[in-house]
Amino acid sequence: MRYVGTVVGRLNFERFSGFYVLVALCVFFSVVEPDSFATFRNVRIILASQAITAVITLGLVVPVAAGAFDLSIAGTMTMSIVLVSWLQSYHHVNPLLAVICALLAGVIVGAVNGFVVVRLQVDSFIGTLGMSSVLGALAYWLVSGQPIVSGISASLTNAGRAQWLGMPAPVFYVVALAIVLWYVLELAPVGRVIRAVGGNPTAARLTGVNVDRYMFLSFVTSGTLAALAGVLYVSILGTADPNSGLPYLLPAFAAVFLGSTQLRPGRVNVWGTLLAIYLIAVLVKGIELRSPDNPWISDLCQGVLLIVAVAIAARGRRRER
Amino acid sequence: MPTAMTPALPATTVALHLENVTKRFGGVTALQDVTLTVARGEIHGLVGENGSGKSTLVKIIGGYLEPDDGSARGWVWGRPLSFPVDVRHQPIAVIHQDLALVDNLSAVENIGFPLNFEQRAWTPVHWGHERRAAEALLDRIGVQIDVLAPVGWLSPAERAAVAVARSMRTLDKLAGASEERLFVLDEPTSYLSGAEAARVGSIIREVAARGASVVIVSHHLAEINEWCDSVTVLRSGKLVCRRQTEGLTERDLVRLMLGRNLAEFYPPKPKRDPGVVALETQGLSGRVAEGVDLVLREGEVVGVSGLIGMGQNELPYLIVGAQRRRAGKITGPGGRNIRHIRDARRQGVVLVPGDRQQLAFDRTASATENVTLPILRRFVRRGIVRRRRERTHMLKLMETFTVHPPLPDQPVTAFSGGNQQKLLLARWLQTEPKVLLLDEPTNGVDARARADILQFILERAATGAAVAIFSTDLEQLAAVCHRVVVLRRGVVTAEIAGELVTEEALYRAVQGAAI
Repeated sequence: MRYVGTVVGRLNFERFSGFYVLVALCVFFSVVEPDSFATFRNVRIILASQAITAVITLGLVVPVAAGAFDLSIAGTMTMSIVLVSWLQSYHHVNPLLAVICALLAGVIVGAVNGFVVVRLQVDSFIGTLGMSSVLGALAYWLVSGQPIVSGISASLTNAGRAQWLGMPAPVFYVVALAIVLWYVLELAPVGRVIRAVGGNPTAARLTGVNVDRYMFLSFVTSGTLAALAGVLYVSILGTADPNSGLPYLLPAFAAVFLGSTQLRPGRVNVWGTLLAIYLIAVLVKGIELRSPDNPWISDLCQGVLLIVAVAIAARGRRRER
Repeated sequence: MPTAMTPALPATTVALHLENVTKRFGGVTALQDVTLTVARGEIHGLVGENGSGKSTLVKIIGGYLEPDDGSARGWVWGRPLSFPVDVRHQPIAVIHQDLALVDNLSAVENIGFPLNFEQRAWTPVHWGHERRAAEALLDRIGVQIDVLAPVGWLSPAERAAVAVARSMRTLDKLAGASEERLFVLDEPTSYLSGAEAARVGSIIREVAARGASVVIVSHHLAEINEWCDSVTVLRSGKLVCRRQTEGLTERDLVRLMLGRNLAEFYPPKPKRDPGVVALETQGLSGRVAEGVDLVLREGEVVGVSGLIGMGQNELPYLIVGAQRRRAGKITGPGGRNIRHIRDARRQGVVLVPGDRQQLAFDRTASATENVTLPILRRFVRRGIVRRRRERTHMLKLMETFTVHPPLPDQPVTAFSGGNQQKLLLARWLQTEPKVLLLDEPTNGVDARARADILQFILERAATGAAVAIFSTDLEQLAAVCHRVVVLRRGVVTAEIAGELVTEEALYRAVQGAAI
């Protein structure tokens, strides 16, 4: 019995609970769905399909760490999806240029969000909610509400559909992005400052931190990465639709908050977020395979998980007091 | 049952009597065999240092805590009291410092809703009746206010009155016409100006004049002496004495509380060595401050005081550029102007804010992360914050600033008020500032930590920093300052320097300035 305690301590259930749940879910679904779930193909599908979610979610990590919400990320992503496709399909723009335009649009959206929150002093929740509606309207207007299914350059879709070492290329993009963000948020001094801004902006300002600048830059980051998620979406799926970004909003928030209960409980962090993304993905995918006729399952899971994650995070905060 | 053997106390003379009250938290004894007696119609003071157990005693009276080991006994107006105290059915009202008012509701609503407006749940409220009831209650304690305005708009004393009126209504229902009731006010005058505190005093006297009893827990010993008929002194969880306040001086009270003279709690003033001008303000004006010219010299400790709200607590924020100025020019130690807070930082001018929770700390971060924020660059090697270096530095800092226990990874909120203030001071002193501006540096800090904190500040002055303490604590300013500037409605009205800096002189300057 003595050792059980030690082992439990080592396993550190609190910090890694998500990881154990992930393993348990994988084992469970492999047993009940050995032919569909426990296949290499399925692993690839989950990994690749979540790459888009991962990029937009990692972008969201930054403003949340700085104490702000960015609800416009899904709108930004939609706009980027539509823009990058529209430029190629309607105007035969070089794909690289189209991608650059889309990313630039993301930077601009982020800058406008930053301006609205920092200068106009609009609460970030409200400001970005308004912005997301504006972006949806823009995307719709650009293509008159019509989906784009052709005219997207093969060189772009090749980048999204390539396989390296038997793995979909987007998985590598996500890992690279996660490493960069991990460095910025956890190792570099800038990450500490961003968290200080998020923890108590007034105190950070009195310490001499340029709070407005960090807040502004965090919106630019989330805007840019949301646009990048849009580019990735087009490169993987090869189509565009003025509604395509919206389903990514809730999973992003669910993963950020669930992620904040993992690895470094109580704070938003990159690897915890990635863990949460795949935890949610495996759960949803497994249930989908078990009951393929119920497409509402994934919305249900994500909604419940968002609430549960925020509740767990709130419980952790209460205990600290 | 012990109650059977003990004689009933005469209800006509004793409002509350508690005896053998003991309370332990883990291995720490918060209260040991404490007795508290409050007579009918009496205003009774409960005093002691931070950690003396007075808060625990109040929590026991309020029913939040239960005494240990069953030996505690109590009577309210002659009736035996069982523990934990069920305040809903006892004629006891405990009013905490924060008053627990809902700021955006009116006095009528705040007074009415704890009793659900004495209505059934779904029947309409008789607002006319409620309004008259609220006015009548406030009238009983001699307060006339706009009962329909949100209580957030009222002055602090008026808010206290609303809280008292709210309790009176609840007790009216319990005790009826009888005035056999007890009010316990926990720190009713913290953060109040002299005039507002005096109004609270008159409210309390109104309450007592009607036959009710009042217990006041306060750090403001002058008020205790002035308002109370008698006082109970606690030290380290034990009863020191209960006595009448007549003939008792503030100094006596301090000695009883601390078990020694107050002078021992202040470090000796360093010799004044007037250096060159480090910081100068010209015509500085803000919300209250009006054309303030202030000169701070190297090695000098300057106090800036006044009654609360006279501008002294706004000044440091104006100087560093954290608050908008209406007018004024500030020249820092580098000879350059200070326009915003980063100019100040660059020239070595730092501000230690007064409100730790709101203005100083990130509650979600560890002590280390909070403290090292201004000097984070020092620990960066090749673009990475080296945590081990940071931790080593922090451990050393905690030792220097006598923060016990030295646990750098704990959340900053896990530390006591005194330790938090030391951490805050450490955060800024490690930057080796040329000018140190302190807003109420010892608020909410016990006497021992206060001595340490003042010691650190004076040491810094001795090494050549210019120090300014913005505070309403005259005793403390008198003990450590070479020079004190007094403000009235934002304007400098007096300056006292050298041997003339005594508590009495400051008191006269501050009060005189208010007339």
